[in-house]
Amino acid sequence: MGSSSGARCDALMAVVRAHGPGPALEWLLRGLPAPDGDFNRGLFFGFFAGAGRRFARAADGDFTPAPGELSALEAAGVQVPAAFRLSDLVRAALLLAATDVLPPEEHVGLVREAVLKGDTDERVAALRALSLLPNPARFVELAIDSCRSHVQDVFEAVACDNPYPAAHFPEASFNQLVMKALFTEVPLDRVFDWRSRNNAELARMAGDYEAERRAAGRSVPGDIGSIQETNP
Amino acid sequence: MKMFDPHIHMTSRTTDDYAAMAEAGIVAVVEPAFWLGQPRTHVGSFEDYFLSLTGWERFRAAQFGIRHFCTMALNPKEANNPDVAQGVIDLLPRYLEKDSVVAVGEIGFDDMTPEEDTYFVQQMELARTFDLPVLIHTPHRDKKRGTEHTIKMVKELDFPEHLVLIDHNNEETLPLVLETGCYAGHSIYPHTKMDEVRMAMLVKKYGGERIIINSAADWGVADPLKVPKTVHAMRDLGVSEPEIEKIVWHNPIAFFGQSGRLDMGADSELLPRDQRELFEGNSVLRGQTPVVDEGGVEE
Repeated sequence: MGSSSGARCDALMAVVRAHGPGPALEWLLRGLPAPDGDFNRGLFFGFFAGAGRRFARAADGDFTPAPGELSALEAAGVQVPAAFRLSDLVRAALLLAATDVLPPEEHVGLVREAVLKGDTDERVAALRALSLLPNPARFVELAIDSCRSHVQDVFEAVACDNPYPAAHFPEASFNQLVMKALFTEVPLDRVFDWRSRNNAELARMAGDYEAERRAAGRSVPGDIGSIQETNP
Repeated sequence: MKMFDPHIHMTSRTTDDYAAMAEAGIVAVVEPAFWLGQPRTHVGSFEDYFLSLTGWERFRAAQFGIRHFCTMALNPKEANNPDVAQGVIDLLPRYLEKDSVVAVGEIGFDDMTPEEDTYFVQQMELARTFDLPVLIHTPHRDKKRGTEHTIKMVKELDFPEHLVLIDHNNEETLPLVLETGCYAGHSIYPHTKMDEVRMAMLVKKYGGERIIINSAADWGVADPLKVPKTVHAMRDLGVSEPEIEKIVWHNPIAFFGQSGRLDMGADSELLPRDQRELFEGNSVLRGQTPVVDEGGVEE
């Protein structure tokens, strides 16, 4: 594979090969879309679903990439490798291989289908992979909508340890994400690079939320202070 | 005693049911895909139903510590609806790969039509392709003939009998199923199908080998605590504790475990609850204090 998707897929697969169980790897190689093969959409989503139980379970608990592997993943564009379980890397590799063989106009539809018709783990994996895919700005509506759905794990797949929102969300959507993180008691430290996107409107929203909490006699999340202090 | 309810339609039940089931010792459930009380008019309704079985309902069960698995299929009643039948079959390959799907089911017979035969055969082949056991519903009307027909079809297809659970048995059909290598399910119902005392008497007569019991609770008059209630009835009739445990725990785990997907955790205990979690913006709570067990996932 010569494209950037292909090279990224290869980099992820190098780590997957080093950590994945043998039978699961054999199975995966049958389903990884290849430039010279036919792309069968139904079959592809079968592999996308089945990757969970074949690579998750025991393997995820024990998955600790070596320092060299971490730098290789970072070099391939995985900015927060610790956020990826082994099965997430497998599913990212599947999406990368698919975008490598499909025409660009089909990419958004493919990833959207992976999210909408996936179980929670499939949704999480697809959303964690967004930054790695070619021309990632195209997936912004999908990422915003996934934040809106509030499946806590799905929300966190976008909101936490994921560079996508800071890089691509418009201000109003980014502010909603931060407010939702406050509401669901997610520490803001987990929202990648939120300080670079801090703005006056966000500080206002956080201030109103603080007032609402105080009026109700409830506790105030400590992160509200950091938003107001770092507001440019 | 830890219990497994291997056939219950939790999408139709309340959170009070989940709480009572966990309190009574039910640690895990299997929710078979079936019909919804009225005919569906689009294939899309099935797809959203399948997604809820692997998504929202699983999450809701976990909020009460219960492990939720499901089976996927075109049910026998709607196999007779040409507007949806083939479309649902076409959806199945994708959904049969999902992690929490532990069998193909409920398939089987309702009116015993040629269409039911056709889709029965197709779905048995899907089970073979996906290495999954099958859960077979036997009809309410003409049950004995329906059970005989089911067994004949399983044998004609040369489908491995240890991968077949024939459900909703009674005094007339149980001996037929026990002559095969199939598992025999019994739905304990308030008024129809089978009751606790009759079930206990069947166990006294036939023992616990390949015997499975369930509540089959759905949107009708049903009781999600029929498994624990039948445990009491079996005790009252002097069935031994190991035999009871085999029926309400080891047998369903052995059967659905053949899928390779029945993840019961390291200790097969109730999941740690964390009711602060949300799904699709909806908590199951309406203002109560969330129950958080030690070990519940801190988000």
